[in-house]
Amino acid sequence: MMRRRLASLLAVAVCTQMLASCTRIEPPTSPETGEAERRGQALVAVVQCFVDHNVLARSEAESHSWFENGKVQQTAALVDWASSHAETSFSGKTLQVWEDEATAGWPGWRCPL
Amino acid sequence: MGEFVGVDPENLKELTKRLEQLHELLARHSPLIQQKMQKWGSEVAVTSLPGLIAAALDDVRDMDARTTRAYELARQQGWSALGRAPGVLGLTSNRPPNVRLDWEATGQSGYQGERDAETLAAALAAKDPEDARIALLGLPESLRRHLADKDYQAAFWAGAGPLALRAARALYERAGSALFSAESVSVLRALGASLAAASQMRVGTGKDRRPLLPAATRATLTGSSDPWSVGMLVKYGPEGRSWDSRLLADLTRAMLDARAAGKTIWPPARGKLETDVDASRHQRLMAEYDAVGAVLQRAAENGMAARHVLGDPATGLKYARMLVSDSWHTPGYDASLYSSAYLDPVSRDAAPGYLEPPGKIDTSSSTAAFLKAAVSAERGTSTDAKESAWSVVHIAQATADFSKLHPQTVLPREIRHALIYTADRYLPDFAASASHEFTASIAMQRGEDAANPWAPVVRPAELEALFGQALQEPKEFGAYKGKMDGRISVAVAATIRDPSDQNYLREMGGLYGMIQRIQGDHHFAEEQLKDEQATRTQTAISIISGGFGALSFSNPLGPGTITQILVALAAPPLNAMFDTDFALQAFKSNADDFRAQVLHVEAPVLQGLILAGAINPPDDASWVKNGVVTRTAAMADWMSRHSDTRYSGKTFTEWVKEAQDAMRLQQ
Repeated sequence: MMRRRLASLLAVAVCTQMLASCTRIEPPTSPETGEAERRGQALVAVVQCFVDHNVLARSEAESHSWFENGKVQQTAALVDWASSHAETSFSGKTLQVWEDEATAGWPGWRCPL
Repeated sequence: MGEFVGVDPENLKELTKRLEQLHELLARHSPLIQQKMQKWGSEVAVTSLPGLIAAALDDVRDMDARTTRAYELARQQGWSALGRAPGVLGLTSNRPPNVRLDWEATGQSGYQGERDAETLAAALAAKDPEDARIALLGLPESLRRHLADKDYQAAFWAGAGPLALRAARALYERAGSALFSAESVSVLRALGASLAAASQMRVGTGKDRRPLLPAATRATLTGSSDPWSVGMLVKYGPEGRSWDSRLLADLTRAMLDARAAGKTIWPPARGKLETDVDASRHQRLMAEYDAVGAVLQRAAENGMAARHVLGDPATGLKYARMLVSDSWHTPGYDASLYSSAYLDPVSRDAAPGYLEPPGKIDTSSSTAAFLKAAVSAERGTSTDAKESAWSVVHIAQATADFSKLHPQTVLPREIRHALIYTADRYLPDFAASASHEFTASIAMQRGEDAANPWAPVVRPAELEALFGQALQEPKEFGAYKGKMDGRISVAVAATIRDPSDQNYLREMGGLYGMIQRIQGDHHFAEEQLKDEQATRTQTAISIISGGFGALSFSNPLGPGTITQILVALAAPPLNAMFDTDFALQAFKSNADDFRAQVLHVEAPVLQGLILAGAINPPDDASWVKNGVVTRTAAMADWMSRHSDTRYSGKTFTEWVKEAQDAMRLQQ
């Protein structure tokens, strides 16, 4: 419960910071659209973290169109892949949990592996 | 060249007539003949009978072509059908003289096709529509007789193509209430039927197989300078499925391009429009003889034609942008030219255009039908399913573009309903991509695996625009959220049963949150929200009661199965047997706290757990009827007593919490 509250507080703090710093890019139409934006970017970072630390085999990543020149691309194919691996466990946590944590901490989240 | 023989035209005509009667007789009695012969144990082979009957029809056509040629030769020799006989008052009919004709060449129906094309050319060249009408009296019958005749069709359309396309403009009535006379309608119908039949014909075999209508003829059809007339052939032609889908797709693109380029797509104005009654009548005529609408309607009926147009990854978006628009109406007229100019000339001068052009008639129903057809292919791995998925992508992008350009404009109701239809049909796909932003929407096979069905993967920003346009009224929100409630039940069940790692509940919840936000932007009044809630309950119940009877959750489900089930539930039959009165009555009388207690996600979650077999309700439970949960006080009571009981690894409360978290409805 305490962790959840902390995560929420952190999320609020990050959101406030985000609102102040994202004037350069196209402003989102609603805070939730901003959330989809953050979640999309967080997903890329999480999967990149998996590949870089061999939690997801590089050969497996290379078999998908969303992986190019060693980098995870923020494409429709990546979102589709994430949808079918939401409950797959990577290093002890499901992709969904990884993604939620990274989104809550975005853009300050760093790969902990 | 064949052999020239001498013939008596009148005898030839009689022979044609008798052959025709023979063919008709055989065709009519063929089933009976076959049945009787079999019953009597006859050893006569009757299987070749249909072939013989078809050959008899060919003989009729051949003889008909020879008869036409024989009469033509007689006329060239100075014979006239009516003449004056010596000693007789008035006109008498003359018997034509014997003539010599090439029996083989004129016996080919291609020859008749050429002759009919020439007849059409001569008739349409006539300045007076009345002359054209008389000259064309025999044409419909000939076209009908040769509908399935490749030689005739090839010859006729090669010769008549560009002219036939202008038939409507040559034939329309210059006055009167109807735009076309009965005879003209008959000609247009026959030409339309002939063109549709020709469009579906193929010649050659193997690699050489190709459309009967050569590319050049097809190009004249689509490149016509008179799109309105072409549209009339399609309007009076047969139902969409009788046409070749490629030709209809080409025609649709041509019509939409012509419309965008400002070409004449409306029927001609007949005379000066003197009063606003005239002007208003002309608007009605425009709506009735709407060429673009006619082509869109046929392409929609065809289905594949609509998908060819919008499902093309290169050009589909361009046409989707033309269709997803608020411009689908007749142009209206300038009232200042008529009586209203006298009513208030001062303020008109002060603010030109202060009156909207009146008389605009909505024509968006064909557009909406076309959009629906474009997304309606059966789901799967086929090219048709691929085009359908791309159509969804393009429609969503076009809607987002429209909303960006016209932030304050709501699309016409019919088009909005086509968007709702799309959102409903592809709900699980939309849910899968609603939470993450990414670079570009595409259609793809799930998991980039050729064995998986095609699916649209649409960016959240575009989904939001699509729902923002589609859902405007409380009842629309209610119906859509009701559909989601139904799906949430499936998602809960799927989360337990599906061995794949997809989290359907969470995905469905993410999309639900988006809908909820869009609804919040509308700030509906309390009374309206009650309507919304009622619609939602009815819809959810109809989905669950209508869809689940046929579904079995007893077998292990493979990846993608749940998506299939979610799709199958997209259009549930309304189950009139199911009684919704009690649920509605209950929350009407107990109002707020009842709703707060049971009308959120508890009921769909409970329903899902029952469907998955995780909860077996007691036999005497009043809140379950035929496996469908009814939202009653008894249900709320049961739930409160079982909130900490574990079902498939989670307590009931945890299941509900997960659904609420996903929907971002938590406090």
